[in-house]
Amino acid sequence: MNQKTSFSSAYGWFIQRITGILLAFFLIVHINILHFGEKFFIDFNMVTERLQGSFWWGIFYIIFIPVVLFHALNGVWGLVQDYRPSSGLQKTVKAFFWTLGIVATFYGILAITTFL
Amino acid sequence: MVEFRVFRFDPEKNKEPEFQSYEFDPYKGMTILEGLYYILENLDSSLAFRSSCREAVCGSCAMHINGIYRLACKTQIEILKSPITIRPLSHLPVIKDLVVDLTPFFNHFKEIKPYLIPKESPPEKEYIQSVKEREKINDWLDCILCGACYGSCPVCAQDDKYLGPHALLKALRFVDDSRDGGAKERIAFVTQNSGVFRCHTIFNCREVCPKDLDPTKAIAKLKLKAVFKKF
Repeated sequence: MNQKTSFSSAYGWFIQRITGILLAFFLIVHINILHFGEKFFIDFNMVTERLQGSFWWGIFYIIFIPVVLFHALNGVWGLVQDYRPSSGLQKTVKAFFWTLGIVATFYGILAITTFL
Repeated sequence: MVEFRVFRFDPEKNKEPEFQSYEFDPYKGMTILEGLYYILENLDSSLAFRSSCREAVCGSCAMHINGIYRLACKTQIEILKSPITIRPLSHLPVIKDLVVDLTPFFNHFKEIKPYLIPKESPPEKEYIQSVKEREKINDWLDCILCGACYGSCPVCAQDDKYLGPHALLKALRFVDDSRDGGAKERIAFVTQNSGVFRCHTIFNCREVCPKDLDPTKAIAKLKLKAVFKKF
C-alpha cells in the first residue's frame, strides 16, 4: 500500500452524484419553462420578464449555474483521466477546469443579477 | 463435429498472433478444457494453456470463450455455437498461446494486503466472530482469482495502475471482517487515484464472474465507505 492516497477523488465522486440529482430537478424545471410554457418562442423580453418577476428565479439560476458547471467539468475530468495523462498534464488540466468553472460561474451569476 | 479456433502466439517465434482451427467429435458433456486436452493429446502437442483442478475451484483456466470470459472447465461445448473461438485473458502479456503473465494481476492483489492485520490489542486466545459478523463478509469470500473480471474490465485495459475488481473486492472482504484492524489503511489506499474512483460501474466484472460474485457492488460499497469514512 505505497501509492499516494487522494481523498479529493472521493469528494469529487460524491459531489458529482449530488449535482447529478440536483440537475435532474433543475433541468426538468428549466426545459419545462422554456419549451412547454405558454409561449413557444424565447426572446429577451421573456427572459427579462421572468427574472424580474421573481426573486426565486434568480436564486434558481444562481444555484443552477455552479451545479451544472461542476457536473460538466468534473465529468470531462473523469474522461481526461481515462487517457492516463502525466502528473504535470493532470495538474495543468485540473487548474484549467477550476479556473474555467470559477470564471464561468461568476460571469453567469453576474449576468443573472443584472436582471434582478 | 465441433471446431475450436484457438489463439496461437509465441512471442519468441511469431511476429503476429493467429487463430488455428481444430476439428474433433466431442462426447456428451465434454467441457472446453477437455476439448483443449483432446487437442493437446491427439492433434497438436504444442498448444499451451493453464489448468489444474478441473472443477471451477482453482481459477487457472479462465479464458475468453466465444465472446465471454469463462472457466474452460465449467463450460460445456454443447452450450456454445461452433466454431468456438478461444482467446487468452486480456490486458495481460501473453507468454504462449492461452497462457498469460499474471504478475500485474497478482501485484495489484498483494497491494491491498490480502490478509488479516491484527488489531492494536489482540485477544489472548482467538478472535471470536459472531454469525452476524461472519454473514457480513459472505458475499466477498468466494473469489478464486481466476482473472475473468480483470480481463473484462475496460478500465484495466486503459490504466495498468488501476487495482482491478479482484483486488477491490478482496479489500472489502477484509474491511468488512470484524477481526481485521487494517480497515483505515485499506480504505485510504483504495481511495488513491488508481483505486475505486476509477471504476466506471460498467458491470462487466459482475457479468463474467464464474463464482457469481458482485465486484461492482463491492466497489460501490468501498466508494461509500471512502466518502463517509465509516470503517
